[in-house]
Amino acid sequence: MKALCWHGTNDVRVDNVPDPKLLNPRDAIIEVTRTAICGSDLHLVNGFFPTMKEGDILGHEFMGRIVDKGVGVKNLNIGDRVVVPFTIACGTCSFCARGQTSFCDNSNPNAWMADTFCGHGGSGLFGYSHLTGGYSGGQAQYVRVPFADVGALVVPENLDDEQVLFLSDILPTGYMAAENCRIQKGDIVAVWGCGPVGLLTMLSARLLGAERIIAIDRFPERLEKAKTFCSAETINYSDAGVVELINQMTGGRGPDACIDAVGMEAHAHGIQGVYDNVKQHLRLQTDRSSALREAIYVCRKGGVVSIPGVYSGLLDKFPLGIAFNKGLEFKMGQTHVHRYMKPLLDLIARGDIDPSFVISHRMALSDAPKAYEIFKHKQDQCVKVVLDPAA
Amino acid sequence: MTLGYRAEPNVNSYERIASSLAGLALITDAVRRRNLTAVVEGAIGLGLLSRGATGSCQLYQALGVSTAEKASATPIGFHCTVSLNKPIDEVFRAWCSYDMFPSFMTYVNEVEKESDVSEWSVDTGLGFSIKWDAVADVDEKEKIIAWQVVDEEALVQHEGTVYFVEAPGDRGTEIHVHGNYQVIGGAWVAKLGEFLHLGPKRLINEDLRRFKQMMETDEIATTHGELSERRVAKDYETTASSRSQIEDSAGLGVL
Repeated sequence: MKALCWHGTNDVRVDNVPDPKLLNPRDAIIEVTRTAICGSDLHLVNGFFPTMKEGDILGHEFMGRIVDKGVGVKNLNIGDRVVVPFTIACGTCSFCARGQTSFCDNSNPNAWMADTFCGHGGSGLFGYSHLTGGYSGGQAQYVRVPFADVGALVVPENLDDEQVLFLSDILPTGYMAAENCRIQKGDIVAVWGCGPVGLLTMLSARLLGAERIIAIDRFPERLEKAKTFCSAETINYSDAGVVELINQMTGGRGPDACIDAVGMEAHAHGIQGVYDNVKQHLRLQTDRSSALREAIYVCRKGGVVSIPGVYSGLLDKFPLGIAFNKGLEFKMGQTHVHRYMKPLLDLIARGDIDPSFVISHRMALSDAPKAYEIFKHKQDQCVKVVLDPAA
Repeated sequence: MTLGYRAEPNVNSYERIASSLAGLALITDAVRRRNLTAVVEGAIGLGLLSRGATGSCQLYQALGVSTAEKASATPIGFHCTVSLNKPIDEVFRAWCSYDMFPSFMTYVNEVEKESDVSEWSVDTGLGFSIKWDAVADVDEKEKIIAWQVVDEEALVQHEGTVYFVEAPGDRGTEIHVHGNYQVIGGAWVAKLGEFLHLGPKRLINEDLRRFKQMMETDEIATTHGELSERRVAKDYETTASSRSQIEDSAGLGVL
């Protein structure tokens, strides 16, 4: 089968590789009909994430039809059309039982590695390095899905792939990030990053009752999507002083919740940007966090800073003093996708939301390397690329 | 039991490992070079290897120096633990089934029980297996299992207890394995083993993790056999026309 494989920093190629096989009784094999490239895939491609091996298949946002299943999968049938969460969860460990599926104890065969790195490692993930298990990802024609009886969600035939694909990752991610803000009546929420996760976070914040949404980015097409689809008030940080503007927009109080949908490869103009880039290049810090610093500075006293953006290691000059003095609450983490999928699918089925507005490019899997290039450099007004493995 | 010489060890374990490795390196190099200086090098290498292997250094003896640990026959202890989201009775009963052991104790080839004694065959991962006979005392009420190797010829001597307690709140069960072991050849062999991640602490913790997976999910998570596990060169070919190099833009052009 064809698959998008990692070959080194900035080197991904579509290779001909053997089809996946069933390895455990609760496995299923999915024929992928649609898959997407995530912003966090770029951290792997840019060489910022450890334990990648040449030949690893990338991709953790995918859906398709079940073509084979193990004897332990009793609740699904061959031919079912399913969306698969990017976090792999067993369903029965104490964390899964509480709905915290991204903390699953049992789904990472390299748990000893993750435990050494983190103290206590989280769940296995699709296509996200050997630290998370070395599972082959979904930017391919077929994928092996472990614990399919817990993971794969059957979706109605009358909904398009593009409407439901993002239940695999970015829609639940945006929703959990917004839910973590404990939004109350009258709240103003500021979101750094108008990429796909930022946009779906804003959409979710609206659903959860935010009074106003402030969106910060530097790419006009992304700010435009935030304005059009999320009714956000936008700030282009290349043109304006973000902190001052936000204070003006919030009557001097600061936003009630600040969301960092940017993560470890944050971009900044000026000295801060140079400093972070140099330190990262010299490997004196692994993560760049200019968006997060700004969010901490401008957030109101006692507010919430919610972080769906991915961080991997250590960052420098983190203003813990400011956070302490303002009594900020931090919420973060990999998404517990499973618990949000069904409720969000219901909203999509009822026509209340349609996350497909984030898609800007539709390409064939064979053109995936080019797709990565466009997505990485934000060329051609790229926001989100969806790939078709059959094309 | 020491190998070879009768002298008391006066070199400590880590130094013995370093000395043996250095000696081997010099000998290998000398054999490769095969000239006059190589003979001298080889002799030094042999000396280093010999003091590493026996733990006895004549130079140290002459100087009256000893770097050896006291009582090198002290067993090495370990404590391993895991928590399971299952009731304590179920966990204890499952553990007491000997024949299940090889399914989650990866290095155990088989366990056979004959009356009170169980015979174990364990793969060292170095190309050979070792065997031992052990007895266990099971306290069903307190849920404690005490084991002990009863085979004097066994290369590894060990004993310990496995006990089961209810985790606080509704967190299920904790399993604790306390033990100690001695390896023939002395402390330095054991230390080398620990260094190479072959020590019981690491292996038992992994076994406990697999036992938890089996109890909670009926399977053991694996990617063994997925593409990422296979050697790259043998298994796939690149379609050259679909290859594209992405330019590295992570330079300092941030403005």
